[in-house]
Amino acid sequence: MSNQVYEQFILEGRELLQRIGDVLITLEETGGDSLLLNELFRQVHTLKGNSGLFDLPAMTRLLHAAEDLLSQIRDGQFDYDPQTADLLLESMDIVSMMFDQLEGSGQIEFDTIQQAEDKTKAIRSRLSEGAIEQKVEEPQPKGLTKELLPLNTIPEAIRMGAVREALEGKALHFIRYSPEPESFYKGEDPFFLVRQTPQMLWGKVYLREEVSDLGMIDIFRCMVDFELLTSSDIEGIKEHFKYVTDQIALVGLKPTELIIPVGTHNGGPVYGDFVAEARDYLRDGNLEVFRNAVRGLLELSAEGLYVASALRWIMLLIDYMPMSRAYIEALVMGIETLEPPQFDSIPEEVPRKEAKVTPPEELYKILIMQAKVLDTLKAERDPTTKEGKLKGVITSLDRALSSAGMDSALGEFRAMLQTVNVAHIEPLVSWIKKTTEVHHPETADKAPVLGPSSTEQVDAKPTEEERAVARPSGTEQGAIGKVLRVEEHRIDRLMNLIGELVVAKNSLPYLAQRAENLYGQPELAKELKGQYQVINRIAEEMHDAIMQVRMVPVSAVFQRFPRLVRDVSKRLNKKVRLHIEGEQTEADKNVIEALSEPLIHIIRNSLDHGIELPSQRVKEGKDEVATITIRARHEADQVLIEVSDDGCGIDIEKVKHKAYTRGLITEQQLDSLSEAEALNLIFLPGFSTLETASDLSGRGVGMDVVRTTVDSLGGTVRVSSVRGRGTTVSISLPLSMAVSHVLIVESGGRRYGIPMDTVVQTLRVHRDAIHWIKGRATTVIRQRVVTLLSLNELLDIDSQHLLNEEGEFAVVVLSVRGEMVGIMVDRFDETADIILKPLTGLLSMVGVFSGTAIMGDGSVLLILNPKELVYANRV
Amino acid sequence: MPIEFDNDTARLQDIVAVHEAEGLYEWLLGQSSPKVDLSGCKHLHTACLQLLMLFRPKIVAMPEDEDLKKALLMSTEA
Repeated sequence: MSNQVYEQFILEGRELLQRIGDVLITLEETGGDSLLLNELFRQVHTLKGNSGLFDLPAMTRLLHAAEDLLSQIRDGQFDYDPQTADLLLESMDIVSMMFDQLEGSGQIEFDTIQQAEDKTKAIRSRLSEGAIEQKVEEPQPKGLTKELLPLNTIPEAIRMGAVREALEGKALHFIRYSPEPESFYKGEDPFFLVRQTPQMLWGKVYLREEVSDLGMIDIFRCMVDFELLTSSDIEGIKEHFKYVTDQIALVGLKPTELIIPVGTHNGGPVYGDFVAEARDYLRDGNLEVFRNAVRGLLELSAEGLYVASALRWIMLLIDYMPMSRAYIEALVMGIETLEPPQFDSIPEEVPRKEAKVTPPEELYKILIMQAKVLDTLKAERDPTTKEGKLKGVITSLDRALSSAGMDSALGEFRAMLQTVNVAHIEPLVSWIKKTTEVHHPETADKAPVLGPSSTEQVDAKPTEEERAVARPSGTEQGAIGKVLRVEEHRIDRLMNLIGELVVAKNSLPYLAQRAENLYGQPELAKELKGQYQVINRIAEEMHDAIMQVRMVPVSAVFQRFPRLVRDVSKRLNKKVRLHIEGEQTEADKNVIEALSEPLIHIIRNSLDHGIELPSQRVKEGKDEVATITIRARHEADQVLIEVSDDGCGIDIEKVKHKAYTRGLITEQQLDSLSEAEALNLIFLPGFSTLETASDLSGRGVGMDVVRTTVDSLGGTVRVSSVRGRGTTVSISLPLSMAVSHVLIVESGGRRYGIPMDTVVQTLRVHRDAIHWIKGRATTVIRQRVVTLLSLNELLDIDSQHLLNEEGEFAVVVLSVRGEMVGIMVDRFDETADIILKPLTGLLSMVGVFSGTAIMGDGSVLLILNPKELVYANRV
Repeated sequence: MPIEFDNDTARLQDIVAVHEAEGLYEWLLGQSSPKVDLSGCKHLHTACLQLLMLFRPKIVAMPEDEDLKKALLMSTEA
């Protein structure tokens, strides 16, 4: 099995698991929605099928058990209660774990297998616990139109066997199984399924489409249909084909429908006497004599005769006298008239429905049309086409006659066909001519009106439920053409290349400068600049396009929260409703992925610390069920995500006190900290307000992880809280992290980049305007006291900052975590778009730099990380 | 190997799974009058079965496995 298939399996498996998890949660909220249950069942089934391809018995067994449980839930034998939901969710967790291990080491660990086996047992025992006695409507297989069944092509011996079984009380069913074209990809083997059909009496496989070029076929697309005859009851059939109910059409058969004498009509002894005698024997009940008479006549008749066939049937039916009396009489009549036996007169227990009768006009039209086709046939040279056309004509006539309910004409037609072949079509031509005259609309009125036939009209329409089942696969098919699944690393490679292009194009302006200054070629320089503009535009558009490709909706992260909230709130005995808004908001894949962990921490914190117990909430006059809202939206080039709850809010005094006892703030700060500042204390490492550390949060790792992650993404996190009303945590992140706009500054003879999003302004500060407060340089900017830091000092560069002729320092004012800080540098340069490459290896520990970028002239620019830079100085 | 290719004859052995279809297909495309020996075959996947139906190679030996033989006979007659 190729690696690619394996990767695909894991990829798809994860998607399926995700979807299954979602549906499980939704189901719990909405109750047993049959549509959802069906979908769930199919997903689990597909996953099981896939796992079967890769020899993962533990996974397959577990999924199989889950599937059986779902099947019973779907059938209404089980309620979908929280316990069942837990069981299923836990099972899916184990499967998910297996996927992790498969992806990691390629092997499922023994422990996990053990867990899976235990879970399988748990489900199985639950299944046997006795189901609720109440059944809902199962999806019914589609019906078949009986008239079109090729029953007469079933060998006589098999039909006889079937009729015997039917007369002994068994049900007969004709099944047409049209596996969906993609079934092989789902790990199905229709032929195997067919071979395992209970009590199969006969089966046939057909190619359902014509193939013109054998070299061009898709061999993994199922192209065959199966037709089966079985004496299994309907329950057995449904059970056997339960995964493919939508691909099955079936119809119950009466024994008479299989009693079709076939053979040539001419020749053989005279049967007139026999017919009279037979009626006497039947009337008198002389069965043995009758049997001998039949046997005698049978010996005299050639095997291939129609009459011989009828006699063989009579022989069989004698064994079932008197029940079969009417059948025999009909057959005897058939021998006399050489027409198919008319079983219409036989009383049936099943109430008949009226057959649809094709109006004579319709039939007339069909006859005329087919006659025309036959005309063209004579001119046709190619034998295959000729045969095909002839078959077509025969099928349409057969169909027309059947649906018109003209059984006798149909019998005549079929008998006539015995003599027709490609070289000899005259009988067919003359038959059409004759029949056309009889059924001419003017004369047709006088034609005997045919009574309802014995055929039972079966509803061919799929039930609502089946259609619902069939639909998802249909849409999947449609989606294949529109969505391209590309591995991430390919996109990354493309992005890197485009990034390089963006950088490479920056060398053109340098080149132009050199052409002008060094080689004195202003014309060439101008042309180069012109070309640069063109390449620049294309590169920018390419960059834009690749960023679009990398955009993912936040729902990719949000979708796991319902499960999280459900599990955690249950464990804490709290009642929580999760409300999600703006799931479709898009952002770069890396941003979205990195968001997951901080959001989980925030939600856990809300659940654990924010939301009160139901009794407490009632006491406070709040709704017993708390609400957590997650909102996502775009704001300029940022994506803003808010998590708010309606819990107890943050106790600011408690926070301050805690921070004080932990030594995070001084006694002075205890009094002087503003509310907002105090709230921000929760982001400090080692902070936790809840006395007891639960296993969820409260180990003091929560919120500082949030801040660290968000910081590393170049975003900001803010918290606001109203005592008793709730807390809101807002995270704001750049949409994409690939291209950064930086301000280039010089300091200590080197160039550094500062991300533009933190730069508030650049200004010059005269050295006299610098005031020293407690050993720190400060100045007043826009009526605010701003701390000034020296970049050289921060980077341990041993030199003073340069002053310009007026004795002014160059200061970049940054906004870091809502605070204004001035950074003194030597000189401002231009701004530039750069592709930020994070530092790797040992260098990644140097926090003051967030990465490097390569400039157009090939030099490397170090990009500063303002937050680290400023805070490294504080501690 | 569930399928042994021997000049113009393919011998299908035991259980011929879905992934054998590709090899069988290539082989059938390259043969002018292919022959197939099913004597040792216990089951063949639908994908392989439909290939045999499309190419109609000469079946030189039916399966010894009675069950499969029955299933194939029923399918291929008429």
